[in-house]
Amino acid sequence: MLFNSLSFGFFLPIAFLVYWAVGRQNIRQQNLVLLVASYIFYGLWDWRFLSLIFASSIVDYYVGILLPKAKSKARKNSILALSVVWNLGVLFIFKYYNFFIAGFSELFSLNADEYVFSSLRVILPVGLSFYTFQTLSYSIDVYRDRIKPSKNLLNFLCFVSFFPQLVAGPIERARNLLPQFDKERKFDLELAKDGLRQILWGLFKKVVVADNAAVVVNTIYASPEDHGSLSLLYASVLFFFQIYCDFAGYSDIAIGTARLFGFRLSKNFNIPYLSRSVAEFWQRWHITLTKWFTDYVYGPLAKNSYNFLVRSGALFVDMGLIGLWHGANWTFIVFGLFQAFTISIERIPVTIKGKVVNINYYLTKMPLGLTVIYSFTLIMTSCIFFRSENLDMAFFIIGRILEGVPSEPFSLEIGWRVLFIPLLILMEYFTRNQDHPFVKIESKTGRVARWAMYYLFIFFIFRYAGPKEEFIYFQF
Amino acid sequence: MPDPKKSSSISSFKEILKRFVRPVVLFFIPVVIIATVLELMVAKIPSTYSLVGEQLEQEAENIEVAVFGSSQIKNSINPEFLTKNTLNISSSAQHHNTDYKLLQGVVDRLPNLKTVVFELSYGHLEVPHNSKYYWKRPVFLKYYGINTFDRATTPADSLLYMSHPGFFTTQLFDQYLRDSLPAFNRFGFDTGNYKGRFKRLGFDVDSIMRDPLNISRRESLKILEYNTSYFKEMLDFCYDRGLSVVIISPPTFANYSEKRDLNTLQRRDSVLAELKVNYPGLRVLIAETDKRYLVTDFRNGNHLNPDGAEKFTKQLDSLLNTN
Repeated sequence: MLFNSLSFGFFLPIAFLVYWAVGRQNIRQQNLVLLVASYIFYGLWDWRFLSLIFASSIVDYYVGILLPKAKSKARKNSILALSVVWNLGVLFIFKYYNFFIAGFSELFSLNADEYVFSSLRVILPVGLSFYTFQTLSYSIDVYRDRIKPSKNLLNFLCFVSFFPQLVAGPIERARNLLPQFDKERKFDLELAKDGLRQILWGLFKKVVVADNAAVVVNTIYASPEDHGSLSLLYASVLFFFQIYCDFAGYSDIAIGTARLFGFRLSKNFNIPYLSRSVAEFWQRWHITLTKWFTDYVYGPLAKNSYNFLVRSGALFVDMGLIGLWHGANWTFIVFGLFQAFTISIERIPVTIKGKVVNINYYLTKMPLGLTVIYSFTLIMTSCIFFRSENLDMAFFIIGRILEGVPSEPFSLEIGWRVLFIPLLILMEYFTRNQDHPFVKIESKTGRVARWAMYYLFIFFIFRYAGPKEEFIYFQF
Repeated sequence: MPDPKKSSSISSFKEILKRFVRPVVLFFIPVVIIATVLELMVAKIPSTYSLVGEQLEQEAENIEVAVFGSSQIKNSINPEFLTKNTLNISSSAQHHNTDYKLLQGVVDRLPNLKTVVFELSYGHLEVPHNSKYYWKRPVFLKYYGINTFDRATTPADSLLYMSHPGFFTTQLFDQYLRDSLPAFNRFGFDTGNYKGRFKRLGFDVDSIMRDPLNISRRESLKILEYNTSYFKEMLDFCYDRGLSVVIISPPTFANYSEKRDLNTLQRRDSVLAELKVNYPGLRVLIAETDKRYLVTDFRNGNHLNPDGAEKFTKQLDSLLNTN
């Protein structure tokens, strides 16, 4: 069920009403409603994979129960290993097995089909990368004594399958989300109203901006050899806004939906296109994923070291894995490594007049406009890898952009609808300290103006919707 | 984020209904009313789909030929020039996977169906099939009663306006506010559809050849493999039911045909040659470079106008009438 589908428009009010109607009884019934709603939500995609979510939940629930009871470090390690092997194993089989088999076969010039480890015909369960990371972090946090294990299976099942963020995040940590299932939830009028506004904003981003940008990107990237430099550059810029609005739009709808049920999810995007550096970009883009990798990959590898080489090495591993997390393709790995390379450059320490500084330091001193152009150029370049089907195509596009091949005819493809992007930027820029542009609208405007604004955006969503596209991050 | 200091929690469900649900419902009432009105208005617009749907319902017993394909086929086959009663169930961007589902949906409703016409254009085998979000699925459900969703449908699945609001709003503007109504015949063919790039360029061949044109030249052996085997499955389906098959590709103008990727073209032709060997009785009409078509027969490089459609349909008619 897509957030931008009519079926979700029916599903959400029903789930909302049933949830709050039983809320008067007790918290257990509320969680039960959420669990049923979440399993229906997911099952409508493919009910067979509900068993996978359930199995992942059970494994990590019992890992959490067993960890504190372990009497020795070795025993504790082996229990944690069970969670790691299960979660990464499932991820590997469904997402990476064929990629590695193909790579291995190519490396040794083997025909994979002739060997025991031939490629598998499996489909990637929607949201797998998101919920396995969520359950894995739970077990690691229990292992590290950062959180207490959940002793309520129902609440834990809800934590893993909570439908607003099940298929594309935000990737919630147990310490933020799990306690919310344990405590009594009262309907918060302001939170719910704000949730609806955030859903509206998310739908605008996805349906109007991302889906229209997709028209341009799909057309031009379908045959890059037929397009000149300007067209390819235009498509690449629009692709950045496509993935941003697609994913941030999803996150907005997820966060808004959760608020309707009295939950507060983590912020996942913070106007990333206004970053001064690539390093800052990753503090603003898919924040919950970056934090996950920082806590469980980069942190343990860098071990608080100030050594540039140690930190850079850890960064390359971290960003390479972030790239791989996005998909089993070399393009994603290069996307991640490209980011690691640029962040490392930004971090190179230089001693000037006895003071150790780096490029990042200078970037913070420069005018915002210049630094935004700098970081956006690098991010957009890396996005060419993200969007391309293979490395050859990515290098071809970058080369063609740099060659200055005339773009005749240059076409906007979507006409004036491209102006929705500057509208989005202006609205987000002027409300940059808020969660979304509609947050303070109630205190600043009367009901008539406010409703007129909502109706205007609903009109945009209906009138200028692009062709329906699946959320890009569902495939990850 | 709302001010956490400001208490706005409500514990009674009645209060939730009163203070939240009621204003939200009030807010959405105009939206629902407008959407309903738009849905009804869209349903009343005569379209190629509604007319084909009517033909399917009223003439099912007499239909002998069914034509499937994309906009190239929609624009090039006008059933009024065919001797046999023909259902042209093609539409823009419609690929083989949709054709197949539509064929499976109509085949049992057409007791006298004898021939099926499929499109196999130059790029057909190396262009991905329609995605599962192909917006015309509600259109097919509503007008043809055919489920192309690959799942059980709900009443909401046949809502047209909601399936592609942007597209249908434009249709509504055209229908009610602009003077640009299509002139459909009873087969859903637009007999007045002469507008296009070529007309704007005054049918001047030099200008047309100079006019930049981008066509898909993407080669994909992976898609070729999948699409070819899928297409064979479609042919097997027809042969199993004793239906004869005609494969067609309408004329294209030089500005289009000269830009085709030769490798893709060669692979398509090889597949065609193989099909002719393996499927006895298979008839093929590839008119992509037929010089008898003049510039004035086209709307643009790969779409015929009604004059060109008349010629091509008559060409197809001759083929259909040969054994």
